[in-house]
This record gives sequence, structure tokens and C-alpha cells, in this order.
Amino acid sequence: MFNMKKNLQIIIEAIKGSPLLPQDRTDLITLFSLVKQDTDLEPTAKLFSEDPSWIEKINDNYKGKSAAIAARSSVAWDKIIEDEERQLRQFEV
Amino acid sequence: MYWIATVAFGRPRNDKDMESFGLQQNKESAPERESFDVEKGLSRERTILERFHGRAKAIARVMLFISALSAESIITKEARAEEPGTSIQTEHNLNSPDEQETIESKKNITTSSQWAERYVNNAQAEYEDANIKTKEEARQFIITFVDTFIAEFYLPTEGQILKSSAHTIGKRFYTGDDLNNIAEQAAKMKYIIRNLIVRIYHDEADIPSNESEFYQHRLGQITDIRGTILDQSARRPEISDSDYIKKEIEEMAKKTPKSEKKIKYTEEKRYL
Repeated sequence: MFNMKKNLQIIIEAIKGSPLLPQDRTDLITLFSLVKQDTDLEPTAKLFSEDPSWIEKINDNYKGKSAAIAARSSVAWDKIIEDEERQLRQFEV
Repeated sequence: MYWIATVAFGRPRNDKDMESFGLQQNKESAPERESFDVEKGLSRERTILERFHGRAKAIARVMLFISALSAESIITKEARAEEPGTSIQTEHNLNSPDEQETIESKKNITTSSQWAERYVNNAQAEYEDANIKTKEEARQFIITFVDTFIAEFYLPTEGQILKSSAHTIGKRFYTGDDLNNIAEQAAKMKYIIRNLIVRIYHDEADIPSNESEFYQHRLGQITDIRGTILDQSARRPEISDSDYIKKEIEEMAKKTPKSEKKIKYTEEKRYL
């Protein structure tokens, strides 16, 4: 199994070491802190540990999705999915 | 629709192009608010992202996870806002002079104490929703919400922070109302810890000796925070908040070695 420590702790340490603004750091930590099962955080902890550049991308992803859902905007949501597809195509093996 | 058309086909050059896209020519009309079914949106995203393989699949899993968390977070907030008795008070619907005084006294609360409200509100929400039953869950709750609250107070990253150099721990500046707010939030956090103890152990006296230190340490730290804040509040000079911060900066400048003064001014611009 991947984690030697709790996955949430790994995520918190990774986020605190990232160049995010303090407000964004807190909001992202709070989001992950609300997850009940620590095992659900394993893929995220693994991603942030292996490639910390994804912390900022995931933060942008989260902010965009929150705004789209709050506004109930399918246009904004579709744009986010387009961006995700574009990002993922670079990694497809 | 206009936005999607421009992304897909490029910006229309003239009205004839606009017609070929089937778009209205009246650019001044406000766009209609889209209706968006969250469940269907999540499902659509899942259908698209599940097609990826390898490393992309691992990243896609995290993206889908973020979608689920975002949706849950927003929908929960909206549900809370709709609960009876949670309407926001404004100066126009206040009934008593005491309530008016509360609103007015909160006017000088800055980011230096707003972080504390957010931490406590999140802890309260989690305490109510998570149905914490075991000692391990209680410990995890304390580490996640209480330890981070204490860490943010002593190692500030949010708010109006003064630093004498890039390498020192910042000193957070508080208005008088910030001090009161932090003291209030610390009291609430202590109340949450005590409720948690009662839930798990039924009485503070019933906590086993090998676990008692864990909770007493946190309760002690929160008490220290309140003591520090109340002490600062009592010793505060009777001057305006802006005069007070000028005074603090002057004092800090006197103590800063010449070699570090350049860094200090850069930090001031960043944090003030």
C-alpha cells in the first residue's frame, strides 16, 4: 500500500509547501479534511507527492468547478471538461 | 452559445458570419442563465474521463474526485443557507440596539481574524456531520481542525503580517475587533473539543490516562491563545488601529539590522 503516513497528512504537507496563496491553501486543505475515508485520498496523495505541480492545477480545477456549480452554468462546466481532456491527452500512454 | 461558437469556429467577422452560426445579432442582450443539472454534469464528465488509460487515468480519478467534493460542498452550503433561521442580518432588519451594536462592532474585523472564524465553522460543520464515534476518529478530528487552528495562530500565514526579514516568523497585526474575534473563536473551539470529549468518553474525568494528555494539551494551548489575546487587548494603547500599526512598524524598523532593511521593505509591501 502506498501510504506510510495518513494520506491526509501527506496532502496537507504537500499543499503547505506549494506556491498557492494562503487563502487557497486553507480552502483546499479544508476540502480534503472533510473526506471521511482516508483511503479515498490515496490517489490524490500519490499525485501530489509524485508531481507537486498538480497541486496548483487541481486548485484551479476545484475553483472552476465550484464556481460553475454555484452558478449552475453548463457552459462553464463544459469548458472545464474540455480543459481536463486537453491536460490528460498529454499523459495518455 | 456565442462564447462556444467563437471557441469552436473563431470569432465571426461580420453580421453574415453571425447569421451562419445561427446566432442572434443583438449583442447587447444579456445571455440567458443556463440551467445545469449537477448530477448529469458529473456523469458527463465521468463518461469522458473514464476513456483515458495509464497515467492519465490516475489523474482523471483525482479530477473526478474533486468534482464530487465540489458538488457536495456547494450543495451542502446551499442547503444550510436555506434552513430557517439562518437568514443574514442586515442593518435594515435589526430589531434591538444590542444587535445593532454587534454589527457595528464587527466592522473592523480583518483577514487577521477571519481565518479563525472559517476554521471554527469548518470544525463545527464536521463535528455535526461526521458522526464521530471512535477514539481514532476523534483524534483525527483534533489533528485536522484543532492543531491546524493552533498552528495558524502561532505561525501566521493569513492576515496582515509584519516580518522584519524574509527568514523570521511573521507577526500578525490585529485590530481591536480582531482580538475580540479571535478570543471568541478560541472559546468556540474549546467548546467543540469539550463536546467531542463528552461524545466519546461521556466525561473528561473518564478519559484514560494514556489519552488524557492528548486532549489536555490542546485545551491548554487554546486557553493560552485566549490568554495571549486578552493580554494584548488589555495592554493596547488608546490610539486608532492605523496609528497602532505605524507604531509597530517603527518599533520593528529600529530592531532590524541594517543589512536586512531591504528585505523588510519588500515584505512590508507584500503583506500590508
